Amino acid sequence: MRIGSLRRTEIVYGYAFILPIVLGFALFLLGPIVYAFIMSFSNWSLMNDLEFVGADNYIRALTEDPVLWTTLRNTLYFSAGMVPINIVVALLLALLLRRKLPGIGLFRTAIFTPVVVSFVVWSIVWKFIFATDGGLVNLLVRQFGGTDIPWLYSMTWTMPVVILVSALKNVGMNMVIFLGALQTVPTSYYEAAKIDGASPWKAFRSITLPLISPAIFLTTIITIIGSLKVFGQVYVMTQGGPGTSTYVMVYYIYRLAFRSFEFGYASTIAFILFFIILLLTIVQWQLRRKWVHYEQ
Amino acid sequence: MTKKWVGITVMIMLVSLLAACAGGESNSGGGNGEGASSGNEAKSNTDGSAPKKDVKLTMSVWSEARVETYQALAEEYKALNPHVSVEVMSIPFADYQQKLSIMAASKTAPDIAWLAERMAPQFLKNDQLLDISSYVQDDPDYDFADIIPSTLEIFQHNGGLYGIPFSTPPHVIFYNKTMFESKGLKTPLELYNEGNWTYEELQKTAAALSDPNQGVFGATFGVNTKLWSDYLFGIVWAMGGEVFNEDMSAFTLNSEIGVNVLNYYKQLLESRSHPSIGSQITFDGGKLGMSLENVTNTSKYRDKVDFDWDIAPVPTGAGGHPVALGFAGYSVFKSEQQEEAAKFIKFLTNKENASTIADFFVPQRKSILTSDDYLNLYAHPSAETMKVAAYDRMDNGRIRPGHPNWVQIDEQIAANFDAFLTGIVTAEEALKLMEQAVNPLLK
Repeated sequence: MRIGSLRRTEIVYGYAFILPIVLGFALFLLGPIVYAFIMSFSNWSLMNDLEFVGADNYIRALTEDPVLWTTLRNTLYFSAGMVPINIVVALLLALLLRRKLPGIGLFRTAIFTPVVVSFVVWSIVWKFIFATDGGLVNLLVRQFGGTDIPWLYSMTWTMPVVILVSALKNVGMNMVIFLGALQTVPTSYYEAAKIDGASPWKAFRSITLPLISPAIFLTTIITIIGSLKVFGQVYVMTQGGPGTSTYVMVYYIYRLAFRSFEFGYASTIAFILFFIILLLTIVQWQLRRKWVHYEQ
Repeated sequence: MTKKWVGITVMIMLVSLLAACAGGESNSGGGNGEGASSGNEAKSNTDGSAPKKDVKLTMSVWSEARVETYQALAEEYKALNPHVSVEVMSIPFADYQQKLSIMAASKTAPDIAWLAERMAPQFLKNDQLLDISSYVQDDPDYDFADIIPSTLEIFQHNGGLYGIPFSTPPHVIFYNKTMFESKGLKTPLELYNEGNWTYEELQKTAAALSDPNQGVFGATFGVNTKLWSDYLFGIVWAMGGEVFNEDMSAFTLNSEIGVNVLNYYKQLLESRSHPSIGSQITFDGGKLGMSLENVTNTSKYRDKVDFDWDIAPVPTGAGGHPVALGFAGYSVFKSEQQEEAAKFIKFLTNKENASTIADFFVPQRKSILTSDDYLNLYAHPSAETMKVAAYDRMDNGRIRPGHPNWVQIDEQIAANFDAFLTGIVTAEEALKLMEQAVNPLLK
């Protein structure tokens, strides 16, 4: 087929317009991803010469690395704690703050503010709040007659604290998404439900939830993926400790790559995490039809 | 996640690429401002002697406060050797080894670097340091024999010499004199002079000083279990034990002494005589009775805190009176400019400059360490106290050992130390787990 000269010019312009992003993507994202994938089959390290070791790294990870399993368990614990808290609290806040009351903007802003604060700053502040000696939480515990609890140095408490701090940080983002979704639900549906004698709970379950299910699906996927990538708060608040009790995937990868300098093996763990996230996303996408209604 | 990690890798690759380009540029004559100015100076000096190629050396330290000191020495050196300029950069201690390792791997390591005892083995094993013995050993003016031999051991490797130490500060106990006076307790120095300064006595004194509800704690050895090696070695040695055997091939703390040391530390924590793990309390805040620190920290507190303080020797135990020494030295990373870098180290460590640096550090040259000038440098702590608490102790001083696999060994011991302190395992179990994890790494 012959292409007219005008159309050819258009094609050239088209490619010219997407060239920067495509180049950037190829150079800064695709290239390194491919490179990291290749490196995951090597013993690349600062300690010895580079050698390709086939699937040895993957075999080592799956059969003889107990820390990886601890790390996986911790990551799942973190996600299982963080995601429900985040979604439920965000939805409750959105329901509470959807009303058009004077000054409501102030509350919405207050809850959204942590989202724009750096995770490092947020974590340092909470580290002080949960400090064992003279931290705010322990001062409160003492007021109620308790004794100091080592929040950030305890096999029992440290992970829940990290979960709580992370959930509070990002709850504002999901709340804003829910607020947007709630505002698209036509009020006439609620009026009709009221006439039919539906209770507020029934109205919420049968009208609100189904109508905002696309938003819930979106926030759930984003929050789960985000929770699997947790790093900053662990790095600042616990350094993975005590022991390995708050080692999460990305923190473990960081330790392997930049403490032990095992770049090859770190790439392997990075790809294991990549496949886990990929799998989860595919599963969620498949289940979408069952969960999500009224998607446009 | 993958993106983030990959991003970091790319950044490193890019930075090293750019740094390599930049390095090449300034070596070949200087396109940038600094290079250009040194080029002019070199030209003005070409009248008499043959022109030497401009060399720009970089030096890394982990103390921001010392950058100026070295920059001043570099100026002096430039006056003598106009073709050499030195740029000093500071990298925080926590990231120091990591940054240097990556820089060395990408051939952008500084020419001269401060190294601590635990960093040296890794770079030695990777053959990244220069043997500088031929530069320093035979020059009579340099007087190599003046350097205390035991401080050189870290850098001696396969018959070569891979660095010169500049500071080996012994650990001492800093104590808050005001707090001791208000409680009417004998100070550590008084107890020492009575011959009664032991770890048990420290524990009793700490308990008497503490008031945890007011945030006042009697003693601290350290509150970061990841830095266990900073304080546990000294206690183990004092109690008569060893963490590793002599040739660093086996973990030897799995013993009764090891159990006692771990329990001693845990008791201090549990009785709240010691700030909790992760605590942010520091000695200069005035709420700590005693603190185990390097003697060089005297410059950190002198005229800077609003209470009376002094120093005392570390306590004695069944193992006598050994004391852990800190360690820092200069090394040269192999490169095209290694000769100039080695000459600069020689300049830094000659008698005159070693004595300049000794304002902040504990010198290795006997002639300086024992000189009246050095001992009377500062009014506080008194020369007598400095001698008793620090310098006389250096005969029993020991530098903590290192190993090429130190990062992993360190991590294994810290993890099991945590498991013990949080009550997951007993001291006996923790030490057994450490032994099982560490021994294969020492092979």
